Amino acid sequence: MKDAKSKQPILDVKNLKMYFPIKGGLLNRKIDDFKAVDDVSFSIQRGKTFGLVGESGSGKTTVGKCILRLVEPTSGQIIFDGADLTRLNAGQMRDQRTHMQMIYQAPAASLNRRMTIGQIIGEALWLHERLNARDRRKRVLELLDIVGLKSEHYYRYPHEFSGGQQQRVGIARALAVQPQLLILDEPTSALDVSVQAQILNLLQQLQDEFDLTYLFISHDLGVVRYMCDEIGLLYLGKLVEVADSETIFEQPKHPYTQALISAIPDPDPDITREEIILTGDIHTKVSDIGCPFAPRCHAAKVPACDTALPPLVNTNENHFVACHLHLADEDAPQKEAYA
Amino acid sequence: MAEKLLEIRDLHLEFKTFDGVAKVLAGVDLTLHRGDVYGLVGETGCGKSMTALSIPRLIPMPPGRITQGEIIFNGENLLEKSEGQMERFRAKHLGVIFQDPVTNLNPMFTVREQLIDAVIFQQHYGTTNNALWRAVMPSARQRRKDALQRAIELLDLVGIPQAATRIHDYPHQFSGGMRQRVLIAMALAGEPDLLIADEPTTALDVTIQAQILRLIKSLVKKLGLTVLLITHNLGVVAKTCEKVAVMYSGRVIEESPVRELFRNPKHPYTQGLIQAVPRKESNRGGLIGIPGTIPDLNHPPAGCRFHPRCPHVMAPCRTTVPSASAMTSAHNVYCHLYPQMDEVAT
Ligand SMILES: Nc1ncnc2c1ncn2[C@@H]1O[C@H](COP(=O)(O)OP(=O)(O)OP(=O)(O)O)[C@@H](O)[C@H]1O
Ligand SMILES: Nc1ncnc2c1ncn2[C@@H]1O[C@H](COP(=O)(O)OP(=O)(O)O)[C@@H](O)[C@H]1O
Ligand code: SF4
Ligand code: SF4
Ligand SMILES: [Mg+2]
Ligand SMILES: [Mg+2]
Repeated sequence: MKDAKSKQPILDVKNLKMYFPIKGGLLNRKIDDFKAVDDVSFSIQRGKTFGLVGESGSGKTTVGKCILRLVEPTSGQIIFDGADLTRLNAGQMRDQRTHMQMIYQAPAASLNRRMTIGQIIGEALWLHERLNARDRRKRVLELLDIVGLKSEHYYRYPHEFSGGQQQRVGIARALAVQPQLLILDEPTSALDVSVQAQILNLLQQLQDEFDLTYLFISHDLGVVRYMCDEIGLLYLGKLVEVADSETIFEQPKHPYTQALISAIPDPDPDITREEIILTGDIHTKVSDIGCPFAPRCHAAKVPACDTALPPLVNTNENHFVACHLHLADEDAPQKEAYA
Repeated sequence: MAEKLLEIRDLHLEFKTFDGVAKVLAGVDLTLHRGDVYGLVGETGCGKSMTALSIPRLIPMPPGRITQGEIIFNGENLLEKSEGQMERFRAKHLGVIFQDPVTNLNPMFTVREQLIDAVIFQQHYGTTNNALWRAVMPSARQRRKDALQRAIELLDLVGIPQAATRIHDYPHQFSGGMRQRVLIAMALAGEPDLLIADEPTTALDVTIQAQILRLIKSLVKKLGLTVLLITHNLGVVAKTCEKVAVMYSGRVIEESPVRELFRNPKHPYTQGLIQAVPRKESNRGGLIGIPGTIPDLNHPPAGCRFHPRCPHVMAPCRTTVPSASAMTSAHNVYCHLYPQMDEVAT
């Protein structure tokens, strides 16, 4: 990760923090911070898919918004293709944004219902390239074809489409500006499984064809396993484990990851795994100093769990874990902080 | 084999809509035995909720209309009951958890108020002879006191810690998983025979889903409940149910013990649905979806409603609705690929 130029990641997120003010008291002044994203670091190599997983409210969407600077991060660096996005002014950021596109969970809500499909995709092209009407139309038809829609869909409106087709339109619009990075925020969670399979396959084809890089946000571990090369688990705004997909599923180390994986209902009645049932939920009160997962943790805890925040460390070969039990690993090579 | 509790036979339900008649249920068949945890799966709009709400007769008529079929519960056809009989029947025998969150907990009242109302309502209607019951009825005050006691017991039963304290809270003071537990408690207030749970975990995170599914299973053991569990998640079915019916566009197209359905799916739609779920072994690019989209219920395809999307479509599929073919005694499939029972019989 340090030397070879070819291995320089296309996206490098360093110590990202997004604190929202909590207001209260008589004067409705800021009384505290809500740490939606708290010191998150990860990087993605070109052409790869990084999965961001966690329960609702864990901060996944906020990370995505920070990268596009749809919200202003409190601190941290977002290095895209060598440039730190947090230092750009609005105009420079607008140029950068065409290299990065976001695809949203609710396909219907993200499309303007008064515009035809042709206009929706054409608008993105116009803003990006200022193509004339004829070239624009030609390009829209190409894009429709790429995402598996037909030319007769050009004059239709979003409400005439199924959820899966609307998501295809959203993907075509994102591709219109020829981005390098797609941030996919739960792109199939509103879709039925037969349609989800179509969209996941489409995303993989597009990735191969256009050398796209994906930040894939999801709470569905089955989908994440299928899509991602590397996975990071978020819990209350903090990354608690990062490793390649295979390692996360075959040798999860963090007690939260272990519980999450054991809770996925497998579509196979013959798989009977020991299921870890966690008590409480993500809202269970957490102390300011200890491990954020401590109130729900099922592992044999150590005293430090309640008194010190476990840092995310490399336990071995790029398997990063934030848990006091794994700090204590005897056989692990010397620790190296993730960022 | 355990005794039959519920049998739905050839149920047809229509809705009047602005552009014609939507044939929402077109011959639903399913059978639940006492003690079953029975899954009803299918993709959005296939009629799972409409099937489930037909049992307590909670579908507004009009615009809805049941044009054909029977719902036999413990030997009685529910469709022949009067409104008044049906209301008592619901209170005594059925517990329902709705998918639609608006009809669930009322944010304006504490859990105590809502749960006590449920307990009193169910007890009141649960007694078949109201006159007799009134004669021996305790004072209203005593009644509320007893109901509070019962309400706390119910919260305790569904695993709410410190039930006696938490019962005074408002719904927004509970997390999503806790609210789902409260809803289960309300549905259990009348000690029902059948619990109908419509997507009880769909809105929840996976660790909370696991808690709720475990709770439902433990209640089946503890209370001898029968459960109709509606979901679109095949994983939830595999983990929770013993039997399952798969629906497609207003019909049950396959009904089977769960293990057999996953090992040996017979209907082309079921096969497609199982293949579409990403799993451990799925290779990149190896997921197979089902091409096409679900039919318009105002103009459904003739014959087998899956025929426009089916890779095995044949001539009879386009004209004739397939009837049941028995694979084993408990495994039925509705598809022309298999010998049709009514043909075999003749
Ligand atoms: N009042 C109504 N008027 C017309 N059509 C209706 C009405 N209520 C329901 N439907 C239609 O009936 C069909 C079945 O609806 P139902 O709610 O049972 O689906 P479902 O299988 O529960 O789907 P989901 O998984 O989305 O909950 C849908 O196509 C729906 O649009
Ligand atoms: N603009 C905001 N102001 C205050 N809190 C916010 C804001 N945006 C998000 N949050 C909070 O940050 C947390 C993480 O949110 P989000 O990133 O949407 O989570 P996820 O996508 O993982 O479900 C949530 O608790 C949410 O309520
Ligand atoms: S640090 Fe302690 S409380 Fe946190 S996950 Fe590890 S064992 Fe559990
Ligand atoms: S009846 Fe025909 S169209 Fe329908 S599922 Fe069977 S083979 Fe396919
Ligand atoms: Mg989100
Ligand atoms: Mg429904």
